[in-house]
Amino acid sequence: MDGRALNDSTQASAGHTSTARRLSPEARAAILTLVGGALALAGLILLAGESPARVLTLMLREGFLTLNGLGAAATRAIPLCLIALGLAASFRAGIYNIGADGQLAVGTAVAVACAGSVAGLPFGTGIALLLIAAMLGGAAWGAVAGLLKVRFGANEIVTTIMLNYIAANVIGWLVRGPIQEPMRMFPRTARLPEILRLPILFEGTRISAGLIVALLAVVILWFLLTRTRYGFSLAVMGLNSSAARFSGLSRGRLTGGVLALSGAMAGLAGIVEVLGLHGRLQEGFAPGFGITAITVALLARLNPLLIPVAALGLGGLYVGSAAVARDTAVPFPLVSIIEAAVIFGFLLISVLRRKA
Amino acid sequence: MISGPILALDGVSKSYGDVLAIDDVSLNIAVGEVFALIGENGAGKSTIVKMMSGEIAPSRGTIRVLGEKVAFSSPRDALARGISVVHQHYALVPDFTVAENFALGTAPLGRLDRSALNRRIRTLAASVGVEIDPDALVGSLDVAGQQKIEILKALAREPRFLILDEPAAVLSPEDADRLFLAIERIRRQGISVVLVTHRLADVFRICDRVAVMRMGRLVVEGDVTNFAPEDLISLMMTGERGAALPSQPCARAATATAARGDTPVLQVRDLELHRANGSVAVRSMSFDLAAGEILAVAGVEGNGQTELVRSIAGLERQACGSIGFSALEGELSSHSPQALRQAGLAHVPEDRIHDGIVLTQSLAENLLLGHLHHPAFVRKGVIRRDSVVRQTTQVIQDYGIRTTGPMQPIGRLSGGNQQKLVLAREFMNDPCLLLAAHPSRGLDIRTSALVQGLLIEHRDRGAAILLVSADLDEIWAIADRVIVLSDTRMHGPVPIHETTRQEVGAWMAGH
Repeated sequence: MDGRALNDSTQASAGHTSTARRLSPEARAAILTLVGGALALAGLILLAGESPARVLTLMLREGFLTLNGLGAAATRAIPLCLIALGLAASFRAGIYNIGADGQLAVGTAVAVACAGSVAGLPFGTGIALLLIAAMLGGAAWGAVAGLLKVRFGANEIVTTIMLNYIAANVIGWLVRGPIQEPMRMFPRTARLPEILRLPILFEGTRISAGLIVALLAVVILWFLLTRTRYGFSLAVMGLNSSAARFSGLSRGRLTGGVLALSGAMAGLAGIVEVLGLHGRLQEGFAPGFGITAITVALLARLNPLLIPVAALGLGGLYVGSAAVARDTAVPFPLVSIIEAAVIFGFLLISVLRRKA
Repeated sequence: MISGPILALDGVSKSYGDVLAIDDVSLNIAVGEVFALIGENGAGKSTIVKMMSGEIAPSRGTIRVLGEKVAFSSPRDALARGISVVHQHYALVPDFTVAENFALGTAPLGRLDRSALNRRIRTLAASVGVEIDPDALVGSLDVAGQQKIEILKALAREPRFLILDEPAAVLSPEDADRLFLAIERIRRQGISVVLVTHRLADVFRICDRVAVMRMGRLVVEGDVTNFAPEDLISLMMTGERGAALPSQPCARAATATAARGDTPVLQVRDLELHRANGSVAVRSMSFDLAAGEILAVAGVEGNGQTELVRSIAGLERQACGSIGFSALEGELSSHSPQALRQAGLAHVPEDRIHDGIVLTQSLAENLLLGHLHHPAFVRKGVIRRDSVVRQTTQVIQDYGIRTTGPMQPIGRLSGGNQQKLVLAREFMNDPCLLLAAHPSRGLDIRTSALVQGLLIEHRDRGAAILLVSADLDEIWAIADRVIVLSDTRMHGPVPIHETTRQEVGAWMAGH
């Protein structure tokens, strides 16, 4: 008995030391990735004929250190945060929804199409109904991928990407046809009535009440994913799908449900962007948000409480890069390169962790 | 001409950390003989195969091919020495034709000469007396057809030594006959064959010599003609020949009968079970399981035990027949696994790590899994963490689980301690029907005794327990009745005190 206890404790302590040793190569790899990425960026900036130091300070200043910049970053962070919350739910369950862009587009289009019928309602009611309509639309688009996976075993990564193209083209047709503005000048709808707009929260910025929606969503999703049976079931399916089945969970229902949930969050992000920022649906109003939100969700390690932080970070990067593109000779796609470096770093760390 | 053994293991051992998987095994396999390697699951057969085929290196001892000492660093080295393996799980591309699969890994780089390839396949197939269409899509073939390709692929490498890992386990009797004819012809070409199996019938059909493994050791090796099936069963189970198999009267039989209710908890009628690959595992079985009894399902593994348990747990649908569960109306398969669990079914799965627990989650979370609808743990969809942690702490104490606390990831625990948590989880709420698949396999003696004690305790409290076990000692220690699955048939059920180990052993051997 004593011998076994001793044995157990030595094993446990061996486990601890190896954890300590394991951490260091992981940290080293992360640092190496960041340094490598930074060097590559500096090289690219030099290639563009600018000083990396100037570009970097400009980027940080404009993105994070001025009130204007911070405001713009927060504005950009609102939709990213909403989408990333939904993606976190889906990724936790081991379901890789790459279709937030399509779900966002469909949800927004459904809501905007309903705008005419709710414009007569008292302030607030109409907005609430539009938010719900967008969530339902996004959920339905997500559920299509869910149905294809559960019924036919189609890989959700493939189907959600395909559904993105379908959605983008349907929206493109809608804003040039049935719901185009009366002037028929641009591929966009008419401006929505003022009563349906989300009010601006801070004078002099473009931050709308969408911020409140996003922060509420953070709390709700955090609770749902970490404190409820539903969130626990999703996590179990993501970690050991077979154990989930043996314990009686229905994988089909969870899969379809979580694709609908993340679709609903994307739809919500889209309508918040329309009601809070643009005031109308126009083609390309949320360019690549669904993909950027993947970075946000991964950076936050799928933790709902960290998602707003990561969203603000990427929002700031975006605003800073825009300033860099405006004031220097460095082109805007730089921000995409930074994003890619971030994703690579994350994947590298995850792979190392799995090996260890 | 070649003399002496083609392949010899000399005092070979293999250890993983402190665990000795293979302990000092010496084997000689002669040219042109068919050699059977038999033993229970976990006896070390597959480790031996892996060492012969270069997948792993022995920790001690030497391997000789034709008298020459070798040290394989990969399966490629073994192939170069003429050692080919046909694995139990095939590595075939279903969307390719037979010829294309054949070319994978055997054809040289460059353009595929299809007519030459087809000719080669036909020649090889004819040489072992099988028929195959090189242009058939592999996905359209049955198991037997796919196995033929793997065997032909192995033969194309012109081996001197062919290892077949459980080749007949998944085949119908007719296909198995054809396989044995092919093996006979392979032997006549001067190729030695090692047959890894746990089907004794195969051994007596085609093998010249047999080696029995048990718990990492070689128990015996000799000419097949020196053994009776019962000898081999006894050697596999106990390590001794014909000894230690007395029938023991079942002391608890009287009390057990008294505790039994009138209507059975589980009613199985004319059940036909298929394996995942479509082959028939059990042709027809019927039995009742009453409250307050332990019914053991014995048999060599792979005879339908897995499929039986999964059908009753609602995880798979039986091919034919009916299952009734007294706690629910109608046919069992019309209810979801969730509904079955809520009605009082509990399940200790045979593959704990794969199906029973989530390694990275804490003990508390693993306890919660499976009780997600228990009001003490989840109220209105919200998890009551305090209550889960409190219950886990209690379980850790009651079951003597060695852990740093309820929040420790379960993957850090030893197998026995993980199993204790699984048992605690499944025994919570006093299930009325418990499916226990190999609940004490791989556990040390003390933990096994604990597991068996728990099963008896819950049996006496009125649970109906279906115990799947390959361990006759365990069955004789705790079961009230026993059924044996072998060769698509069911023997029994028979009360333990009305049968003997010899009889059960003979059933297992397919007599």
